[in-house]
Amino acid sequence: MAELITHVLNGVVLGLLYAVIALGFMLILGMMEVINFSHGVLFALGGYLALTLQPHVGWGAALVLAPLAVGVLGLVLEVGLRRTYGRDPLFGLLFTFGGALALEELIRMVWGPQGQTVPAPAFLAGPFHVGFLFYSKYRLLVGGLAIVLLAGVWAFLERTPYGAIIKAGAYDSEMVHALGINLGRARMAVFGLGAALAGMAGVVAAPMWGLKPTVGTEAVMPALIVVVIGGIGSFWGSVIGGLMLGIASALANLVVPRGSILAMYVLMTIVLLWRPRGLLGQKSVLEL
Amino acid sequence: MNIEATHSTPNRSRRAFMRTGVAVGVGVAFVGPWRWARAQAKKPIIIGLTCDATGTFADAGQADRRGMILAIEEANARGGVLGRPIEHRSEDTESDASVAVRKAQRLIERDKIDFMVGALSSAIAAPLSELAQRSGMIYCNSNSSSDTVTNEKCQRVNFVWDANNWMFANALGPLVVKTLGKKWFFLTHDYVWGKSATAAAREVMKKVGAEEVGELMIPQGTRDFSTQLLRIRSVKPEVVMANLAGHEHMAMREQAVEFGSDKDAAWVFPQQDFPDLFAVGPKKSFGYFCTTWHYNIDAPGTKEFVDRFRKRWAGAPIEVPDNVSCNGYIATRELLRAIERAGTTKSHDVIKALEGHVIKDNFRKYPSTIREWDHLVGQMLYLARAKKPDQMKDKYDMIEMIADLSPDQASPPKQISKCKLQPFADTPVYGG
Repeated sequence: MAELITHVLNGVVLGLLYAVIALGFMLILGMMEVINFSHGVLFALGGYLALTLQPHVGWGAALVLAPLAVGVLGLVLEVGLRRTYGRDPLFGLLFTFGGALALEELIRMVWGPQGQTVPAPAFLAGPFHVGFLFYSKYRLLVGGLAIVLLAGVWAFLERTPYGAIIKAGAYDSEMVHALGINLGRARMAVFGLGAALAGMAGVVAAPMWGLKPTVGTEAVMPALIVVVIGGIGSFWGSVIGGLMLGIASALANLVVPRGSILAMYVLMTIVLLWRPRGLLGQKSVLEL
Repeated sequence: MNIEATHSTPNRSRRAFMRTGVAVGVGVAFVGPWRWARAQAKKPIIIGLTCDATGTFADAGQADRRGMILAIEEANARGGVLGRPIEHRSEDTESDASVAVRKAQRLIERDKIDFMVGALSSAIAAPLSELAQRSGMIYCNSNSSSDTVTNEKCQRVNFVWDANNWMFANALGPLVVKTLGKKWFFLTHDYVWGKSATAAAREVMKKVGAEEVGELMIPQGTRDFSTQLLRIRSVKPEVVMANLAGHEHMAMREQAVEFGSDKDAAWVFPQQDFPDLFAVGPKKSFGYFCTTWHYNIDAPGTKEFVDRFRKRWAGAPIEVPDNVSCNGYIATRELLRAIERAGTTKSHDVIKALEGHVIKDNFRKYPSTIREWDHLVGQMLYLARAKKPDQMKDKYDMIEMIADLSPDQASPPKQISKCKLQPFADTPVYGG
């Protein structure tokens, strides 16, 4: 039983991290109807920037500065993406795909193709024991950070006028525009926020998973599954989808270790058979 | 006079023409073949390098390539081979077997390569050796070490330069039981190399009286090992035999330190490629392992080789030669030397020049031998452990050698070999 609880805790932490990655992806997809293929490389960039910043400014400052830098890069990417608005969604997809390839190559040029490690802060190194519970200190912090981030994004979307604009823009962009709201700026902000979330996830994941230029591609695949499971356009869909995926993957590892990756796809298939738009999804660009 | 002159001029002209024609003909007869031969002599020998630059084996793949390129450049500096310059064509095999086969085919068909060198992953090496066998082209499998390519899947054209899993497991087994423990838990990378490594370790386990207490298969592409590490903690083995390679190996090491699992049991990595260890850094390096070579081994020629390598690869991610780049170097150098000995690039002749050849200047205490019955390079092995950061003299000094085995002690005996090399009659002639 103690082992099962530890594994479930592990699944929850992983799920929360997946949810953070997925949320940025989902915000951009929901608001702008763009499948952002560069999301993975923005995740990787967050980790690499933290690798460079950490020795100079420390882990805490890197945790803030690296996602901010990735967010600014997201704003720049959005400027390029503007030309694709109102056109075939394929153009946006290709733009972000090209951006992802270019950024991955940039990572190779700056940091090299070899794998790198990012140290966790010294006070979080190693495991902790509380009664029967044994777990990594750092991962517990990752789980906590993910909850704070998710709560912050939820409060922003649900409790601020900017969040209302973003949600309204996702629902009916023409009406928002007709009300005199600068939709372009809102879209830019959403892309920046989505990129910053990817960057933040990259920073916290780097000490666990290490870094290599393609790390983002591998991280973004579970995020895409989370969005499909949770449904496009739903905050809670991403959170629930992330948790389901994390727990399913962890439990599959416990029972059938070879099937841990397969478990993710099986879960997605079951959810899609039951609810083709995902658990809490709305009609979206994926249905075009 | 005028008439004579009028008549004689064309006659003289015809004679002169004839003389000139004969002279030109003779000239062409001699100079033509000479020029053709000269042109042929200068025709480069092209070597295809199949090395991963992306994917899970990118770090080691590029180390492999650095060794190969140094060997090619040194051969060219000596005037080439058979008077011909050596060129190389590189392809990123992307740590993916299907990509590797496609790119190798492109090297053969488009680039008209004469020989092919490279492979980290056994999942790539096996199909590449089959592809090479179909065309008859010699393929030097520089760094993959599954037992299969020197047993059931051995090929006449394929030469395997790294030690194999049988060698690593048999070298480590007695030491592990004697000093670390008898309850073994396996982490098995779920592809041909990982399975072959665990199978070899299981065989040894029976011989040395150890007992298996569990196994977890690790799918390729796994990045998170938390569940596996928690499982190991609950099973409480004395020894964890980690048969993991590439980025999965690195990620697992990092997370083992994060969870304190490096102290839960003694860790053994039967085969440890240095680029994987270097990437995780000394603070996260732990455990015992086998290796074929490292840059600080005290052996004839090592220092000079390391100096040449450092000079050529200053600024590279790993500036010293390691077990992977040394294999890439020796495989390429010995291939070029075999062409020289054979006096031709014709594959059958070069194969014969390689088979049974003893490599004395291999930067090791004992010479290596290219075994003619399975094309495995029989070589010595080192038992080693990871150094603590305060024991290191420089950033590459991460390995402490604790014992070594001669090639005879380390290599699998002929009687257990399942290899049946194709006869020359069934192997197409390539090149020449």
